[in-house]
Amino acid sequence: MKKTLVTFLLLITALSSFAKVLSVKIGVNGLTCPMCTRSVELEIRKLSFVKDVEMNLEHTEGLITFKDDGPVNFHKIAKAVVDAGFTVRYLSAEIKLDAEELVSADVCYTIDKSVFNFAELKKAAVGATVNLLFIGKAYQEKQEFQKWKAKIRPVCKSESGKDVYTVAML
Amino acid sequence: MRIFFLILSCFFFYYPSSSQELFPLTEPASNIPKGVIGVRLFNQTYQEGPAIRGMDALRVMYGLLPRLTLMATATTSNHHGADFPANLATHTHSGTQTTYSTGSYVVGIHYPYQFNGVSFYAKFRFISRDGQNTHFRMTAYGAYSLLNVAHDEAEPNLLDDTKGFGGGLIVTYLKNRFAVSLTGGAIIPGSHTGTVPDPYGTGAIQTVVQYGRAAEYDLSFGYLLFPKKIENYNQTNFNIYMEFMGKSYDQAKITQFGFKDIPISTPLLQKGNYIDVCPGIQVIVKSNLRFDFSVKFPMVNKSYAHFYPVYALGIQRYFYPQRKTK
Repeated sequence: MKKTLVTFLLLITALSSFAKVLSVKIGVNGLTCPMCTRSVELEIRKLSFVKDVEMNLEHTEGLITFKDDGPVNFHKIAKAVVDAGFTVRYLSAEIKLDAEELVSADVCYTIDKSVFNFAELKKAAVGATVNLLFIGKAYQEKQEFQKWKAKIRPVCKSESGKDVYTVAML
Repeated sequence: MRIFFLILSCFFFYYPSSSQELFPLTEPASNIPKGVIGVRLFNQTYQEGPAIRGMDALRVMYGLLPRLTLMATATTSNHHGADFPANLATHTHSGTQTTYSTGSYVVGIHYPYQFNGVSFYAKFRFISRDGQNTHFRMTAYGAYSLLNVAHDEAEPNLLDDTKGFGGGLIVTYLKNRFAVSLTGGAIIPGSHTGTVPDPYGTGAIQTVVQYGRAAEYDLSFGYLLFPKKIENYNQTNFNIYMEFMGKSYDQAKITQFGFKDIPISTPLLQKGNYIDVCPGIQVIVKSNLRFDFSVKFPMVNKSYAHFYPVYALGIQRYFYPQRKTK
């Protein structure tokens, strides 16, 4: 019985480590020319955990994919846009859930060094791929943030070396 | 000229609007991305009688912060001699009375090219209202120049003629293909100390010219002409511009032999104001290498610091650091 329990716990731990950020979509405001868009792309590409960036020049948004070895830092992605001289319109992440079923907004879901605090949640099963919209002034237009502001419930506490993000499941 | 205005008007008012704010002659309110280095080479040429006057500049730009851009510009030109013109100001004696006067302007004197010095410029963006394919930005700028030029006109110019300080505000609005930018600022120039020959043959007379304080006001329009549909970074961009550049400046003050405020008779050293109109075109290759060409014509009054038309050429490129950040 004891052996079975240990095996089960090890399995859960192993599954947790497989939860993964598949990609990030980011909308950028203020872009009006290819030269500006290129500046944003090059700034994002400088991040060590970024594998590739594909910018849509017409809709001024980008699709970012990541390397397997490093944790994704969403804050640094948003900061790269600001460093290039522009602002984030939206940021959403495609995430594969591997560790647990998400059934309650009180869950603090952790992937690597990111802790997700849910402002809105739909039930999602283990192994499902979900889209998370990031809530916050750094990740949204001002008017859009105002719409979400009342829904933010700071359930998850910041831990050392980890960033807490408020998100909504789309 | 009229045809250019007509074409510009057509594009501004009848095409669905994207935009450009990379004005050939003025700075927009936007900044260089953080950590990026820009290099710009530019030249301005005009004919003054038999002489071709030129100014060549090398500008290095750096994005210190996302909102703060620093620039340093070194210039050479053949606008002026190593010292003031011999007839800048003179005097006559009549008994015990000494009468000072300024001389008339001589056109087309040959001057060799000389290094003018370096000017510095910083701009800080304090308002950003960004939307999809649009932005509104306000920026404060300051300028300081370390030049040593025997400039002999009242109008100050911190880029290549006069040492001193400057500062002001830039407001830029972009909507899709269209950009408009307004710059308002002030120049507090320094003075230049040189010599002119004594008409009575006693050697050189130390002469100090204090240039007039000035207000600058520029209005710039830009329009992204091609490509019609932005698809990738390899598309060559064609932009057209129309810039209106104005300046009002005070009279210069000349001091000789300790005698201050020599009566100024030449219009070159008197107070004045003018607005130039500067149509321009720009080609941007591979979303980085930028070529500008513009021409400056008088619209309201004339500047005495240059003749018309002034042809301006520029080439600029950004260098993006490739170092990875964790």
